[in-house]
Amino acid sequence: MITKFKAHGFTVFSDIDMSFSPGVNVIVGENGTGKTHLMKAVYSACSIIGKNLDRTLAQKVNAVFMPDSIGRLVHRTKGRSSGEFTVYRKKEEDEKERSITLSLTTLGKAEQKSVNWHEDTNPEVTFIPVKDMLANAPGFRSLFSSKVLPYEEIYLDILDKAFMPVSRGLSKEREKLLKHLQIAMDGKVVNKDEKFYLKNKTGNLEFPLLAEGYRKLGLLYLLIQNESLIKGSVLFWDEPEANLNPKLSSAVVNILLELQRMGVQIFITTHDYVLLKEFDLATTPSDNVLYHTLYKENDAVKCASTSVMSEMSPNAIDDTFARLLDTEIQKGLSDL
Amino acid sequence: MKLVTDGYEFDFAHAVALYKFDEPDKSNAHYHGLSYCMKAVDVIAEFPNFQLWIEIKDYPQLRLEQIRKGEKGRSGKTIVREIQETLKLKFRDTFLYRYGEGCNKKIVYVCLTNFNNKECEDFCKQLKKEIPAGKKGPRWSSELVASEHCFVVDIHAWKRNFDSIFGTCKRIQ
Repeated sequence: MITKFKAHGFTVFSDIDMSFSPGVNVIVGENGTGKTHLMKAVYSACSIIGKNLDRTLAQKVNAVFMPDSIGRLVHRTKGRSSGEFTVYRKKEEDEKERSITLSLTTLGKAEQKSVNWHEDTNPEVTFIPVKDMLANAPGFRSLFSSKVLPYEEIYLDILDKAFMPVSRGLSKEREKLLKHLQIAMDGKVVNKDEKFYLKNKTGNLEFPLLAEGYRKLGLLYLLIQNESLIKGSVLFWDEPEANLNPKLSSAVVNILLELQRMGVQIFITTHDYVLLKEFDLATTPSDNVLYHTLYKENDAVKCASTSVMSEMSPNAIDDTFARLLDTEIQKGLSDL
Repeated sequence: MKLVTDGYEFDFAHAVALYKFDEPDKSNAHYHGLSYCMKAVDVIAEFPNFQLWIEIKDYPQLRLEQIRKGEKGRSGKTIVREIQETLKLKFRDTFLYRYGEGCNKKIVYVCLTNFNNKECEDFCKQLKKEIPAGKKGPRWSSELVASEHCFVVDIHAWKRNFDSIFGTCKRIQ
């Protein structure tokens, strides 16, 4: 379970200290406030947990962020500078804190320090990027392994997850979730020769012919089916609402909340009022949902967190509705 | 002119009249004596060219949550639907009062609430249908109120948009 993220002089963050919910973390903020950077940094750190992994955090961060050089991830200031971020986690069964820090300089020096970080076996950690990759899956992984492609590694990682074989003996809860998804997208997902299809009573429909919103649900279907999302796993989902009709938001939110109840820690970013509202409506008192607002104050990105959606402040989404409301009011007042 | 009512203080420098519609004091000039059978908006302000009707609908947090979750009220309908039906009736009865009083100034209707901006927009859209605002029956010569003169706002939207036109509004609780 990820407990905290601290950054000083890393990308947009001059100085930030965030604490997370063990359940769902909903991250909201205007463009350029570091929502995706935060998730990518924490995801990179989670990806290198494990005794037998020889990959460094700097290598993973470099592959996930794809800067021209790793020193470019230092917060921009005049002259040479340095920055760092630290991710903290705990295991449910003990109170021992684990942490990993990546320190960077603008000259490209990277140093990693960790405390108990590698003690555990690698947990399931999944990052769903904004753009769908299932339709482009055939051949992508072999191409990625042999050529230098301008794709962040999260795209390769998510395909690796999607291609994991189906798990045997799914629990009743999982079967129930899959059933919900089948109803929402009118079919189930099958994989033949590295190609994904939506299978229903009318036959198999190729993923490239499928609406992108359904492809997202299809990906979620695969991740539940192959147990990438199990107790103790971490899911990062960048803008679930992208290309998703608002009518499907309720299905997505209910599935995320159910996964949280099953012990999956979830991080999502969103710009969408409907998705937030669905969370607000579907959350029960025993659910753990924390809303984090990233906002700029005097050119520094700050964070405010609350468990009550209506108390989010500042709220870039509500501010946009305020502007729309004001425009409409001013139009109505023009003849008084 | 100032008026304090229902947790708000209104200060309208350019109003020619400002009063609480359901005035309980029989000696007050604005006492109308029909509260037993008719509903009314909370505040009336008269300006030289228009009349402003203000309905105050602030809810405690618990009630707001019930509204947001779409919970049902005593009638079996959702609470938000019940509120809209009440506001519709209050608007129409006020319309009759003012008709009886011979006031035919343009109506501007404001529901002052503590919904968020998106909720204000959604609520206003539905309320306009209910009143109805911006629509007239086939044999009517005019609509009850222009659609563009029907607003649902919170205190912040009031400050941003109405302070300079109607006057200020402050929460006093």
